[in-house]
Amino acid sequence: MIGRLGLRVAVALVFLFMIAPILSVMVWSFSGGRLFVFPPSAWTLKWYGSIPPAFLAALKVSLLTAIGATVVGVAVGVPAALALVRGALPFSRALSAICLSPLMVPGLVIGVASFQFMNVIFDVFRLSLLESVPGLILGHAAFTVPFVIRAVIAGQVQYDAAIEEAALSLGATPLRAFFTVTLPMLAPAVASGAIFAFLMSFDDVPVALFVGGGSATTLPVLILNSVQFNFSPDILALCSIVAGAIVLLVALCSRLFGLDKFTGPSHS
Amino acid sequence: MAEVELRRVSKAYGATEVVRDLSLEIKDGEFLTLLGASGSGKTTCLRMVAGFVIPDSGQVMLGGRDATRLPAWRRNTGMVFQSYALFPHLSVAENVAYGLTVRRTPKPEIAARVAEVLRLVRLEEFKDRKPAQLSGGQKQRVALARAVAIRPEVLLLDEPLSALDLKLRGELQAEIRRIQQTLGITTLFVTHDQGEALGISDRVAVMREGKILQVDTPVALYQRPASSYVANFVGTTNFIDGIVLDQNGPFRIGHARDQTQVFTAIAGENGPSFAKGEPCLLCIRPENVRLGAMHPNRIEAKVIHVTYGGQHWVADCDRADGGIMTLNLPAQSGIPKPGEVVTLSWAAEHGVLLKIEDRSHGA
Ligand SMILES: Nc1ncnc2c1ncn2[C@@H]1O[C@H](COP(=O)(O)OP(=O)(O)O)[C@@H](O)[C@H]1O
Ligand SMILES: [Mg+2]
Repeated sequence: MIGRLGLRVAVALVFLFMIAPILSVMVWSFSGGRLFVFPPSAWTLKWYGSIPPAFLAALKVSLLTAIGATVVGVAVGVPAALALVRGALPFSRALSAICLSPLMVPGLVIGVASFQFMNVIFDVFRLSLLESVPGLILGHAAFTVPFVIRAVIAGQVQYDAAIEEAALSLGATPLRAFFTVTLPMLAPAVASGAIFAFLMSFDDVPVALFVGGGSATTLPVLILNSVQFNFSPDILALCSIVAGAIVLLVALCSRLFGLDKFTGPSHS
Repeated sequence: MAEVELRRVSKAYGATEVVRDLSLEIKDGEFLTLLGASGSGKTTCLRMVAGFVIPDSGQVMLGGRDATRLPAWRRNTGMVFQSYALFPHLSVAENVAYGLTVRRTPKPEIAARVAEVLRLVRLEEFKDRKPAQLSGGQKQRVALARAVAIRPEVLLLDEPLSALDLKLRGELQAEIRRIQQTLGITTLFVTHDQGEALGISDRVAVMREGKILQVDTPVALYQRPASSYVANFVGTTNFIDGIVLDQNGPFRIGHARDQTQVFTAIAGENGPSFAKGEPCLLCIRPENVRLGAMHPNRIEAKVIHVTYGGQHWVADCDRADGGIMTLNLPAQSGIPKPGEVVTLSWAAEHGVLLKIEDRSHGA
């Protein structure tokens, strides 16, 4: 009894420790008095009305980039994962190691590499990707694709090839079986990969630092700059909105795709 | 409903021949079981009928038509897998309806058919559940309902009971048989469990290393096995090495070590023929061996141990020739003590005479 109670208290403490910084940001975003006094001496909503337009522009860049990088991640990652697991490809182990390797590389290295790569592209094709949303998407694809690949591969571990054969024996063409059975079964895995890919792209600083800038400054980069030079509570308001939106997004996807089932113990 | 035929099919994976020049006929409405040890090629044969394996040579006939190269989705087969293979994202009713939806069956007819087969497997009240909310036995009944809902020409079941616990296995076995009889559906069943095979089938085909050794009714298979492998695989058997002394009338068999010890046996109708002096194998089922000398065929043996088997005692005895004699004793009877030397006997019609072709039974 005491052991279980102790465990619960410990879990609650760890959870509080993890979530406290975010909660304090949210609390201070409503603070009308001096900054960083806890609890705030006065309450206000004014910071939410005074978010500078530059931040909203950066938010737009970040959202477009994250959506684009997620779409690329899913479009490339899902077929790649299916091919790796079921394609009976030669050297499939080595191939999947190569596909997943960007996850092991520090973001800074990906940033430098993307920067170099886009310079080469400009020299060869006269196509300027630097300081643009497409450039950011391309840079972020270096980790969103492997992220989706990993999630879908993990999702297929508990996947039974007989299920597709059952569909075929019932008269479904391979194409129909893929869309009515295989894909829906993989949906939780794809969704979880996509959410994390989205969050990683949205959260990224190193790649955006090298590739973005100028007309394509992302929100994290802008926040980093302003925290250094002119910190103001309206940033806290923006951060609270973003944090709230992300919590809502994850909760919604969890409802829609049953992520709890996917991340939790096997239910088959 | 239709008859199914494999005509001289072969299949190799790399250098290993998994199915070797195998022929098999399943009659319209018949329940036929492929029985064999793991790796004997049963699943490969079943998947040839389903269309998931294309034989290297030979033909697959479905309802009199050559279906060898017809893709699985163009054949009309219902398949049940050991792993259930239900669609996890669909409800029970949607699972059962899948094959009908694919066939563009009108909605009202789908609803009626789904209700009908769910009633058949007694799962009407579970129609809105997801597979994850069902027990193993219920899942397999849904899989069965899904397979028969499309009114397939042939029902294919690959070890459908192997993932279930013993009691449930018996229940579902009876259920499968009942549904098969109700629908009169041609059925190919695969198992490595001889008890299951004998209990459920019209006929059983015993497979070994990609070949069929014997196809027979369960009774014939048990009482008149055609080879020592079948005799040993189906039920328990005692073997005695012998030499044919006289093959006219009832066989007279001399013990291989001591030909003054003579046994009699009756050859089956289609039993093998023997020459005088040919070595042979005499096999006797444990339930046909009696304690005491009431029958003409006798052998002395020393009791090793007696175990209780519920319906009867099982006694293992050492024979002078080094072999072992196992016999069943009625549960109410007195039992011999270990170490006791006893006379065992059996009637001539209970001795089955076999060719010596392989010694893999280890007797
Ligand atoms: N796709 C395959 N590739 C290679 N070997 C296979 C394949 N399918 C089956 N085998 C081999 O063929 C043999 C027979 O397999 P199977 O038909 O599944 O036997 P059973 O169902 O009687 O256990 C086994 O040794 C198995 O390893
Ligand atoms: Mg098998």
